[in-house]
Amino acid sequence: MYTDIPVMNYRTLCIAVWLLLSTALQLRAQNTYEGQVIDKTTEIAIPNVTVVLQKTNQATKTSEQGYFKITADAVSENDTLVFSYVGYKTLKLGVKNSGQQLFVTLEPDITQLKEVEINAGKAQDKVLNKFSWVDLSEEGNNKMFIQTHEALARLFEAPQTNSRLINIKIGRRQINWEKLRPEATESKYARFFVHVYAIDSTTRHPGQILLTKELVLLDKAKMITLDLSKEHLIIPGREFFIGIEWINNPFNETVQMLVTNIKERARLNGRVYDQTLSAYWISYQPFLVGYSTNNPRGVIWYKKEDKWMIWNLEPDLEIALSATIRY
Amino acid sequence: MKLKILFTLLICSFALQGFAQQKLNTFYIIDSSTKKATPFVSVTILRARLSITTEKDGIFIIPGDLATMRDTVVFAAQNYDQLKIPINSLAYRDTIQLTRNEIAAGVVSQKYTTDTLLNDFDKNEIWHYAGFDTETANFDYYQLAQKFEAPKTGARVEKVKVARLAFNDQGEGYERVAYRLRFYDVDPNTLGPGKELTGKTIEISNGEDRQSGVSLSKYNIIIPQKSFFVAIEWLRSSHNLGHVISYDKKRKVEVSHDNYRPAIGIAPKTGKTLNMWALNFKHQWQPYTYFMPFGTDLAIKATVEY
Repeated sequence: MYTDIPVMNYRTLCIAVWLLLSTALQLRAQNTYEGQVIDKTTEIAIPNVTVVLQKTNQATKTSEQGYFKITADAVSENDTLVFSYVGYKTLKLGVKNSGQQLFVTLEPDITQLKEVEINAGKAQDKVLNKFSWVDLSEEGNNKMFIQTHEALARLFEAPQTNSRLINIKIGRRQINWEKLRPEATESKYARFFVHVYAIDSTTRHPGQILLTKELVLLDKAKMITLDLSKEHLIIPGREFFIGIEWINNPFNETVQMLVTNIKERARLNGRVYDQTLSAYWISYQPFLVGYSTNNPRGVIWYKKEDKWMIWNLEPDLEIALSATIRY
Repeated sequence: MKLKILFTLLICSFALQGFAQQKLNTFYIIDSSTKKATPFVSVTILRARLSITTEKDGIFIIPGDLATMRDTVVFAAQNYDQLKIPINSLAYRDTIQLTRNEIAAGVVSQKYTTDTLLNDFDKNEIWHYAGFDTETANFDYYQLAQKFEAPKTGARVEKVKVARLAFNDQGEGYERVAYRLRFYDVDPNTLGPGKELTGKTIEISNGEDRQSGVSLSKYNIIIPQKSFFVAIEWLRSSHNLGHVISYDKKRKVEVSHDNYRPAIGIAPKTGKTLNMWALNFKHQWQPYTYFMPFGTDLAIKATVEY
């Protein structure tokens, strides 16, 4: 005996329609606000920022990568998101002005920072291959995602030798389920290695590993900051590489549907029909952002079968990978 | 007929030298008592790791000289005893008979006054899916089962909801799928799925959503203990057929495998207790640890009444 989902009678149909409308209203009654909070000047993510939905008094704190997500219990178009953190001016944002994935920039409060500035010393910080949140947004310059099976590395050049590496920033792309054709699953999880390499003076590709860090991402933060200020890493020469090494394991899995245009005959319960064969492509987070730029693009190498090879990306495409050095 | 042969090519590719030159051996799987076709039988060739599900007519075809082949074929179907035989023993026959072993329907012995939803999850927080080959492992399983704990003994399964991977098929609606639900008691020795709780075939062939629910009260699926399993059974048929492409580390190339929908969501919860079990091609239940430690449960919810 074979059973499908039961056919509804009229009374059941009425109840089902009522339930459907109630559910739809309930869905509209819940609004989710999520995004990343970054420093307006440095565009570095700020963790532990307090985010409050004023009318419903719901609160949360940003993650290590400045990510927040807050779901309102009740709809209020006049509600306000309030972002506050020591050392920064409090920001209020009406929910009417909020979109799907926010980048919220907080302005440092100069009156609170004065004492810190005095003690900062005369060292200079420089961001190499600087990119901004605009480069990460799909409405902006974000053009494609970059991902390899093994590893890639980008060449950087510091203004002088013996610079200290303060942080690394990585732009990560989220695949938009609704917009992308073909479709792909979203995945907020990613676990991967970040390497800092010296340059091999003979081959000019990544050489000795100077530092390795494992990053584990558990939210949808797009701009990832790896703080290396406590590592006291000195880059001996002027040139060095920063690389990403992928870990291809279940944690990082994403699935993308590919268009095949292959028609095949199929059968179900005696009925014969033609269907387009679907193909899933399995790939692994993280997906890095490739964005449009008018600046000269850095040299990028990728690893294949343990050998480094030059990657010939389009000349106007840059990878969202930056390094802040102090000298 | 073309479809059946095509099917069988999938399961006999290891022996195929040239389709046009091979003898086509047609087999009919029938009920040993009624002599009528046994529908939807899973046919597995063990060493070759090939498996398909027959249609209602119970017919399948293996090309080649069966007398020279060295492998084992397993025939399995709900409400029938499993049959395992050497493939070369099929050389001089065309009929396989399966013995019926029907599970008795549950008897309702109490009034149900309340219900509880078990293993609730937010379907928008599902990030991982089980049901296809990946770079790290092949998905060679007939079923995946989720363990539940009812509040009381003697409860009845009222409904089940399953969240699956479903892409919008190039604007033509969600991908088609057909699969079955199976229900099991706990095996006291292995603590995995044991005796089946219903002999009824419960099939979900809903291609319209990423989450499918089915009402089950009329089947009287009574849970003897508190623990029970709800399993997804894959139908390895042309209706569910697709491909999956992943990187083969050994061969250093991207390869395409046959893949059968659905891919079932992994519930967004982490815990120390693994509640997922898998039935492999040898028809052995084993804990499904692929997503451990971050994935311990399938995206299957069950409502029980008691």
